[in-house]
Amino acid sequence: MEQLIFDIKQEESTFYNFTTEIPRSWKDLQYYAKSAGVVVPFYHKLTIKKVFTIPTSNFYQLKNKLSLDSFKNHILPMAVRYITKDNVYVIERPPFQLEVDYRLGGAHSYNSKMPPVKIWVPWTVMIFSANSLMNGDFSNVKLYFNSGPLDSLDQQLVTCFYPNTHSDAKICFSTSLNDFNNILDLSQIEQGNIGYIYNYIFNNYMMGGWNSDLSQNLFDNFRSVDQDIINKNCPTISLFLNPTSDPVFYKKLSLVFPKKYFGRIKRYFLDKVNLRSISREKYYARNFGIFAAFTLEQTIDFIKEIQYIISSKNSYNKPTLDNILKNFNSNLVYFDSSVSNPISGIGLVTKILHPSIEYDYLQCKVDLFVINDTEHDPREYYDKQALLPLNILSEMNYKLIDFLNTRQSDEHIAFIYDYSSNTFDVILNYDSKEYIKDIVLSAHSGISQYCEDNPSKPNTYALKSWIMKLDERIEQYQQLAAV
Amino acid sequence: MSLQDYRLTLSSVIIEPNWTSSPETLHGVVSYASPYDDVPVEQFNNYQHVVDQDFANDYILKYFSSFSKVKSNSIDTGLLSPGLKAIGTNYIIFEKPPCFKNIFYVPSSKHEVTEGLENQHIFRIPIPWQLYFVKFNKDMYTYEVRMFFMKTSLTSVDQELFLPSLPNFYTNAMLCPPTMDKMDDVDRYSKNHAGVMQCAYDWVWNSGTNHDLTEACLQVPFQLNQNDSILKHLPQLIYDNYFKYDGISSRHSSRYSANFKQIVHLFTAWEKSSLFEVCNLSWPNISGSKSNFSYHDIESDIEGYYDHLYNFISDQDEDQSLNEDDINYMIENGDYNSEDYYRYLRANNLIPSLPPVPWEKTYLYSDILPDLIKSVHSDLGYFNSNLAHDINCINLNT
Repeated sequence: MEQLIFDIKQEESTFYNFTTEIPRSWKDLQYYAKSAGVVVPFYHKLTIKKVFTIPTSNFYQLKNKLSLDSFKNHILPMAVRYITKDNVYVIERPPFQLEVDYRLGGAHSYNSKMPPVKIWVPWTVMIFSANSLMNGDFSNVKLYFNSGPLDSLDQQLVTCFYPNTHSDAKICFSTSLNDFNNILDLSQIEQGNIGYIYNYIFNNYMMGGWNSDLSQNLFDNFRSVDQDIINKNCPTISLFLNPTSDPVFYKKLSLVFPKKYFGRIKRYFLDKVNLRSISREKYYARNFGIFAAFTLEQTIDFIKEIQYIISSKNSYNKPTLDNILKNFNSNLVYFDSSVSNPISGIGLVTKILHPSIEYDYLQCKVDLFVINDTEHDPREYYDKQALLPLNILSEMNYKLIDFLNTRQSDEHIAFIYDYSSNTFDVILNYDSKEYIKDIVLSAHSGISQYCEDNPSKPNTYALKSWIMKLDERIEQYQQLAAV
Repeated sequence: MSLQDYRLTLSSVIIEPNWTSSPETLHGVVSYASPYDDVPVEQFNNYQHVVDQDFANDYILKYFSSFSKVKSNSIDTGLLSPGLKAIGTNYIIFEKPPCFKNIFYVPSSKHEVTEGLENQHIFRIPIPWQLYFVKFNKDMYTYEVRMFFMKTSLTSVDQELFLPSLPNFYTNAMLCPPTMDKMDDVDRYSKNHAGVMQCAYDWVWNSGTNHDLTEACLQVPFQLNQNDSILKHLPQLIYDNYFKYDGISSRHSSRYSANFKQIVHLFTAWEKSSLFEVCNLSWPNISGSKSNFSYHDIESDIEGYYDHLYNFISDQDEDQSLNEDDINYMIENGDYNSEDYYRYLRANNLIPSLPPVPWEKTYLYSDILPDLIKSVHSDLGYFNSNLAHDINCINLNT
């Protein structure tokens, strides 16, 4: 666990970094002790670092200056249609034609490429967190299709079904973006130029070359839909599923690819073919052929009919723009630790370059013991400090900060947190070596006693052998405490 | 408790995602000490408080938002119409493509417009690309709108911005705000950025046009050749009669105010233009940050400008009622018709060359916008926060 703390006082503000380690050997001790009915407290080593100090007036001066709007030397990309207060952007793009660059295999395969075809890309809606992109995180960019411009938050969007898109619409970018420092103009990123980065990632996806690493997100749309409904209400999907049903269209389709290549895949266009049985590579190629034969109008109708099918399904969480944005935000808050959560704010302060900042990296280590917790299994690797009630955590933080700033060189303290009463005590003049030795020896005697009392219990053999190892390692525990 | 006791501690706990997926273990903690301790928050000693987690998360995000590369908004924007170009805390910049618009022109000033609008003239005119700069307050009410004409969609900050030759605009492209009869007209827009965009558009195009502020219209004949402007569609006789430029003004108007017939002729000619044409025609330059073009400096810059003023005033005094002191007094106080004097100088060939014109400078997006954005700060009186203020804000919000 890591904790970032920004402590602002009237005169000066200080940034601290707390980290917690749970010694692995201690977990074994707890586990075996528990097996013998002996309770051993949870043990954490907290490392507190004082990173920098800045006069509070200077910090606020900087904060106030940065909070004012200033002229940006760039403009937003075409058709930004929505921005959430968490800086999630929704950017729309009208249809355009694209020459498909598609490898009939995985990214690292040597398979040949499909002969290039030109397709109409329908209306696209890209959704991303601007904060993530500006921090170099491209993992949360989603791409959807639409049959026209967005006109409501209730509009159903269709997950992009081109290659290299996950089923949740997240784009799987090429590895070139892993090292974007060498590709992108970082000054544009520093200035927060959304247009620059949007254009880059959109082009990177559309024209960076596709492969068959991921399955196509198309079948899900038709799954469990009555064929009669498709035949009756969705003529373009019907044509997509059975392109031979319209001889004129099929003739056009047959001219999309070179004759030889078309001959190799033409059986996949037949009415009776089971699309699920076609390999991923061939399935993409088949569909690109049909998309290339589609006019713009047919492409739009295809999306419109998928939207019709989605809207007619009794799904609880339909992919409306509104729902997508709600889910996008909650995902960010909980799982995207690099970006849009409270932590990122404090992290941003560490990037301040200000002449009045004093870096000192003062540091100390403090032990934390959690007692009377019979609820959690030590093997689950529970981080007790993370689970502390906020007021306890906060109060403990204050004590740690005060201790760090006032301690003598040979002074140590430890915290004892009582899980059952939700209180904590501070051990002053703490001697870690003695304290830990007492716990270990007490556990040792408790386990030994258990083995003597229960010679035939199934765990006794394992406990005995562990006790033997423990005898050898008691010295190590004592050394650990002294670190 | 003294001011020294103020203390605000913001902490965030990061759980490594590879060994826990429990969202409850991720939290922000805000604890503070302040002289105001009668607040409903959990206390952990005499005067220190810790706020609840949801508030803490939100507070920490906002507290550090100014350090982000991309500034965040206080609320969601709502579904925006395409064309957003920039967005700030209290301003928004967007463009609209060329289109035809109806102008409902009433040839009277705002205070003289009657209920029946019997004199209303309706013109259907093609307009080129438009760029809107809109200011709004913290409650998302629009309070100032500017509109510029552009030759193309805005693709660069080095693009030129032009003056819309329409009544009710100052020559810096600022719209004179319309008067609303009902509170509903003010309040009917959603209180987000989409509502602000809609409101600004309605202010310009759906609030009627009267005869207030016509200097922007006069800039077409002042600044542009007839054949390069929408006036190319006017019969020559009418153009000569109403718009022909003779130095600074035409016979039919002052420099600042057009007459009703000029406006009607302007719109009549404009109606005859095609959409394609208006996108390729020239449009007047704006007056920069000033709301009117200033001619005064030009006049005083002309060498020998004042040399003939005494004779001019005495020539005008047909019944010879003015004595020397009266004339000198009039000169000192500028109590004469400067336009007539200017014509007199030109007609008698008393000035050596044409004066420079005040509209020579072409303004780019990057010339205009920095000051406009700064002006939002002074308009709204942005408050500089400090530690005591931040802690008091927590007190008020918990």
